[in-house]
Amino acid sequence: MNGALPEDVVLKAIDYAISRGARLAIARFHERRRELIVFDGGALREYAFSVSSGVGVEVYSNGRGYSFTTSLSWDAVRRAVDTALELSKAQGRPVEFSSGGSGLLSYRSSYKVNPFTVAPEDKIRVVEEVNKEALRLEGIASSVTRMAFESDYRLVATSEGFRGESEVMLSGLAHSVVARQAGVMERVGDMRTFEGGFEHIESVDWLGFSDEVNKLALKVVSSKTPTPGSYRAIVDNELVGVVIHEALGHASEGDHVVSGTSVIAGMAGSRVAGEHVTIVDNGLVEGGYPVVFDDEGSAKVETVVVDRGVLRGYLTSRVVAGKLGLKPSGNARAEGYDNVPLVRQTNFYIKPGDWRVEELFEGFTGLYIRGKGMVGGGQVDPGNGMFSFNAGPSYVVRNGEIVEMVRGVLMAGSILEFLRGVEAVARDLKVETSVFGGCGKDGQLARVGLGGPHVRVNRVIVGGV
Amino acid sequence: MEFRARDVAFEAVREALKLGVSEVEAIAVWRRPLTIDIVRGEVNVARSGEGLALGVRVAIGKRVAVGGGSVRAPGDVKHIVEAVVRIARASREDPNWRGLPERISASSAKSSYDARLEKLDVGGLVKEMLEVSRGPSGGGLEVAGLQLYAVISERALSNTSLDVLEERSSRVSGYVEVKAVESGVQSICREYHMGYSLGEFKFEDLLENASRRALRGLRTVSVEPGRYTVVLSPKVTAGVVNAILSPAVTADNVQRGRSPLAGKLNNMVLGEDVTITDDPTREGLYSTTSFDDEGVATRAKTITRKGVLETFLYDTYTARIEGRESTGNAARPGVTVAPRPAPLNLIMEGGSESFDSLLSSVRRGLVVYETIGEWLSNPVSGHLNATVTYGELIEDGEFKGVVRGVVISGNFYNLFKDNIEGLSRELDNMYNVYTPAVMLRNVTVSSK
Repeated sequence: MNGALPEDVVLKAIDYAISRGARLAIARFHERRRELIVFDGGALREYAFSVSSGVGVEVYSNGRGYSFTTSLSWDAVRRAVDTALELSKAQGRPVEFSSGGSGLLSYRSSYKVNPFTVAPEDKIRVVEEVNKEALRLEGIASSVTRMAFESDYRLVATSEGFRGESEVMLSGLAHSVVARQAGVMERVGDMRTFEGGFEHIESVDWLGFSDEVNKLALKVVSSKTPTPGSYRAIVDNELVGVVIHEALGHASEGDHVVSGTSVIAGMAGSRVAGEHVTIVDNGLVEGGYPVVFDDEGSAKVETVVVDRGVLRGYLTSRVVAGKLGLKPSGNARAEGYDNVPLVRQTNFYIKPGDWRVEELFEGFTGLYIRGKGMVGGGQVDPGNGMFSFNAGPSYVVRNGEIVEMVRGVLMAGSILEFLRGVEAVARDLKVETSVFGGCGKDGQLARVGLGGPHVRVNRVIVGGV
Repeated sequence: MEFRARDVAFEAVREALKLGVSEVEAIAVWRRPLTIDIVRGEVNVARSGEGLALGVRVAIGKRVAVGGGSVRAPGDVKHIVEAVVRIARASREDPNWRGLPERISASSAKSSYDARLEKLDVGGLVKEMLEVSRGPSGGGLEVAGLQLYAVISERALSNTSLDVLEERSSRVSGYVEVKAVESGVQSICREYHMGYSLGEFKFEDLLENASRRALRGLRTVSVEPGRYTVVLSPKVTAGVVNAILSPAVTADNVQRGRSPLAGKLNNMVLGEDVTITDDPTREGLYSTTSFDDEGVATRAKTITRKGVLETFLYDTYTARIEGRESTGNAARPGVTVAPRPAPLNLIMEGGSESFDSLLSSVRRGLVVYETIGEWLSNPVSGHLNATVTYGELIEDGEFKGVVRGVVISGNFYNLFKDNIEGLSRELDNMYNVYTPAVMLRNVTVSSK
């Protein structure tokens, strides 16, 4: 680092930007360390590590300018500040932004065993065992098992006097298989991620975990695809996270609201969901991805987006908050030092309701759409109000009884019809994050928490063959 | 930047050889992106900067490891190499490992590179884009967003041979989002271009297409569920091919039992009109390059000729498992991860009819211009699913209304083998996949 400490570089960059006329300067040092071990078909296919780090500078002189550098030499950082200022000045009239406030915030994941110091052999052994076990089963054509660790360190400072420091450690394992039977192939996968260190990897019965995945694949490959059409549905507490993230989360991101490309723009105070539905974006929730401040130096507060069916708020950054007359909600997040912070969700979920899961099934006929085994994710068109996502192996239910398993379920719908069609919300809140994936937007990936309780809805569209 | 990609790659190889590895490969990528993002007639943000990243792959016998990261200070190269070697020493043998390419070389292909991007007048670009964003006035139309992304990069690769290859390239994309509003109804449409040069497209043209669709989208019609003739626009076809066919023709998925095309070489797997090549040497395309990500010279190859599967795509690792040569298709999803086989420029040849002529022959069907979720289709089973966010219902060649929110589905191989009615002459691309419009029979359409 040429002897320079990240904090010194960040603070110097801010002082320099202000001395050159910036109204607001935000500087961020970001270092992400990752390790990935992949077994494929019984052999170690990849053992990889990466350390990505650099400094990003966001300045407001006229408009909003952003620049970055991987080099920590002062010359390089100063050039980055100069570039950001030039870009800002090229934009004409000054842009308005909300203050993020001052103060100190810090967060550090607690862990007992730093996974990056664990001997490679100890990690390889776990992955290898899980991977090879699947291949012993007749009908499993492919087995891929991954173990990943990630440490994400961010130091954010602003010219308003904010300092934030965060280090999040994730550890996880993912296992996916392809089953083949009578010329049909189907894939099933599952993953578990823990906030913390290698102690979590050591605490899990991974063979038991992967056995469920393998058996599910062998079962689903012989199941039918659903008859395409419109269904009443119960969505489980794994998949509901993807649904809510796609169906409402993106539409509530304030940049879509500002650009007029959110179906819920201008609907604050209106009913957008069933009365059982309260939805929040919460930076700290058990099982989720912790965010206590964002990459523009704003504290992450719990944002109530929907309160008992009524739209109450949006997720914001500095500029978006300025345009909407709100305070920053702490949702300006960047994937890396080279990325401009965008309005992103953190842990966005439906709060638990009063129903027991069994009660949702009483007299129910329709589809029980599950997340377990799902490979893929979802996508939304927030402006036209449509969403689409993959589900895992799911079930046809008649009069409360599970009748048969179905595969290849793609569920689509209208954001508002889906939310207004929520009939019941169960008590079983579950939120999970992932070291293997996250949410994509404008080419950036953000770690998020997904989940919620089981919900029952009156109609979704299901694709099939 | 204090460091040059060429020097960093070469230094990494020398450091690794000093540590006694059997083989080493280093790739260094310097890049300088520019983004200008305009929202409703105002600049949201302008971004630029530069960075250098190094990726290193070493083998000690059959023990292989990959690693890398940002190069931010002198000494980083050595630290990265030492860490990768440490992991390789502690790692397991890969029984399938049969070595890196002994030599590295480049073809005569000219990489896609627009030198004008080196010295851009950002102020001038901002002004031009702002003018376009204020473009369509009245009629309830508004430009919600306008974005330009341009990046120049320099990629250098070296390996045990101590030779170095280097190449400068660029990519440029433009994106427009238009909203139409009338009587409380809103309709949003998008158009984009992905290429390598600013001279390839005009924002005005993107705006015109998106505006026409946004206005039409104010009047939607519903369609009954059933089987329809469906025309996928070139871009939608590219998205579908990218999601389903691209993974299926890569050798690692074939060898590992994840491709429905395994064991089908020399068989008819697509319709007789479907000829698909991978040609990273064709001038001016998205991923045109003279060498792949392990230093193998690029070349054109035919994947399907008139529907018959002729080859899969290989990197050195997968090729040597079968005792053959790499097809020059090693691609790294990121600098710091291992290369794997992937298409570079996947091109489906067009037909003889124009797109308009294709549409005029539709008796009753959907023309699909925008979808979401097509990338969630299943390349293992070939199951195609996509949610239509903008489609047009056509009867006897005439436009009848816009369809949104329906799901189209079917088995890709069944549709593209036995149900092709026609291919358009015009091609378009999504990233590195170039395809014509495809008219298909018997596509399942699910709706409310």
